[in-house]
Amino acid sequence: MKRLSLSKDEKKALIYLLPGFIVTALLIIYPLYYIITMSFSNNAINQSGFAGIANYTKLFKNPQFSKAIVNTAKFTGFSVAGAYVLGYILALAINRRSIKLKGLWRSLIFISWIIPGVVKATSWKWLFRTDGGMFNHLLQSVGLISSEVPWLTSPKFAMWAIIIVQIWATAPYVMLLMTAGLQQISKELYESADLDGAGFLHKLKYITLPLTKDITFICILMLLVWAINEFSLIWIMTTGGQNTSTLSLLVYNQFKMLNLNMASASAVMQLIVTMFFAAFYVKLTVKED
Amino acid sequence: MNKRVKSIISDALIYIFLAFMVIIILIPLGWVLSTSIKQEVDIFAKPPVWITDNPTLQSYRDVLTGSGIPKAFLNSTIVGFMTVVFSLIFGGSAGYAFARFKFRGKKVLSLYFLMSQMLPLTVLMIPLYYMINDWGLIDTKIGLSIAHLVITMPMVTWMTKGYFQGIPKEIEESASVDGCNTLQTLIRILMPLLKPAIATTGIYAFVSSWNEFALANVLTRTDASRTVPISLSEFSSYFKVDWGDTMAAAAMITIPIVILFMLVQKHFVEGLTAGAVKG
Repeated sequence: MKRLSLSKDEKKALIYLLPGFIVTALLIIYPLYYIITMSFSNNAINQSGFAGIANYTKLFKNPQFSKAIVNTAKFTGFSVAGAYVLGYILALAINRRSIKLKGLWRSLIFISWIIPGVVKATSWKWLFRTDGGMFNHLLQSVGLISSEVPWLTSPKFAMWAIIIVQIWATAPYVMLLMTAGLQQISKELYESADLDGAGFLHKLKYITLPLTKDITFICILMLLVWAINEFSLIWIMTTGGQNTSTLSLLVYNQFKMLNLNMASASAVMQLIVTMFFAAFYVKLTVKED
Repeated sequence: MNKRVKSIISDALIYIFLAFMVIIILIPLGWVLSTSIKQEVDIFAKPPVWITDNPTLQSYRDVLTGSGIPKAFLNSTIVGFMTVVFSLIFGGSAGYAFARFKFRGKKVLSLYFLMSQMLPLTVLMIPLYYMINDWGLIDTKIGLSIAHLVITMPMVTWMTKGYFQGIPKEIEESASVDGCNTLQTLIRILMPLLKPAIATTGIYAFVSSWNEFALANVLTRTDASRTVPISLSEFSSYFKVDWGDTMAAAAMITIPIVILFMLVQKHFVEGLTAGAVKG
């Protein structure tokens, strides 16, 4: 019985923690158990009949699933790389000592991150229109394209259009996080590098990049998880058509069609992929605690 | 001298780059506002024009009097408010326990709260739909705000944990010497100290609920509970989209969020980066 005795701290912790734990157990742990059970059932809707891994083998043979994996990888890979590079460049630019109005630049750039997701998707859908859409018009007027591109209505371009929007929406987050990271670097390091006559690229390679390594990992993992889980942007712009169906969209569309065996199995696959990256994130974040 | 000229030129190039990026960032919102004040004939002008010669507020009038947006505003506000109250009470006290007490399983539990912030909503959506359906809460504001706790609870717990840790333990200890119990200390001493932090957390939770689309999309059906993101998405999913009205509605739901953000910007940014730059 000794193990069950609680210290004074533990008694208090229990009181403060229990309500929150019960709420999340009901709304997070139980649903996870629920969806996993569904995915191993013959009849997913009432979770009856143990199916073993039959739903998964069926899913792996389904070309829609392999397509969703490829699309998720493409969307995630390009949008994360794009947002990271662009956000980092913005952070470096704003962080330069001689640049004035740093706060103002930061707030203005941050606007594309804070506006509601549905507004992001709807406004870009309107920009991407053909037959006189603003995005095509702008690209044509600077000579980047000669005729209108059917951004959201062709399987060749739709994914790239959505990647552009995701980069536009998440680069400000990178900018913000990396600015915070850059401010942690001691100025003396740069001063002594200046004395040695080091150029910008040299300083970037030997001081800036190595000293922002940890925050870079955290930032990229966050972007990866968000991209894998992104739903509203893609759903509003294409509903997953035109070869833009990522795992999120596959899960949702199968659920909408009440194809629950496939929906639950692909949901568990999405969960595994997300938690893989989330585990790294957690490892890095909790390290210092 | 040469070095000074070089540095002036690079500064100039950086300003040009930043200005260019700001323009790109603002183009979608600018185009929303531009379209929202156009007459119907000008909306589809070829080539498109940024500033119309005949501005009108008709689209805003349409949205205010003839659409589901005003009701959705009310629904979103109520859902957001309920979500904030629940998650501040439950998540805030959990955050306090993490910050102050030593207990077995603390590490596992805090990992659990951190991981839950990254769960895909499309995965939770399916079981939550059936659970909330069983409880008879589909298409109700309370049902949606319960679902939104999935997003806000882990977030609020994690944020408040950080804020409580920032307050020296000695303050509490001297309060307990003065005869306050833990709850009294929490309410009388810590809460007033943390007012800005709690406000920021609350606003962050409110905005998350206000913006949330995936869950609201399956848990709401009618004007009784439909929130602004759902109402807006319906504008542009009709066969014939009225883009003027859509853009007026988009502008109207973005403005409160931008204002709220400006109010808490400083704390918000600190909160967002605190966990990441601690090393």
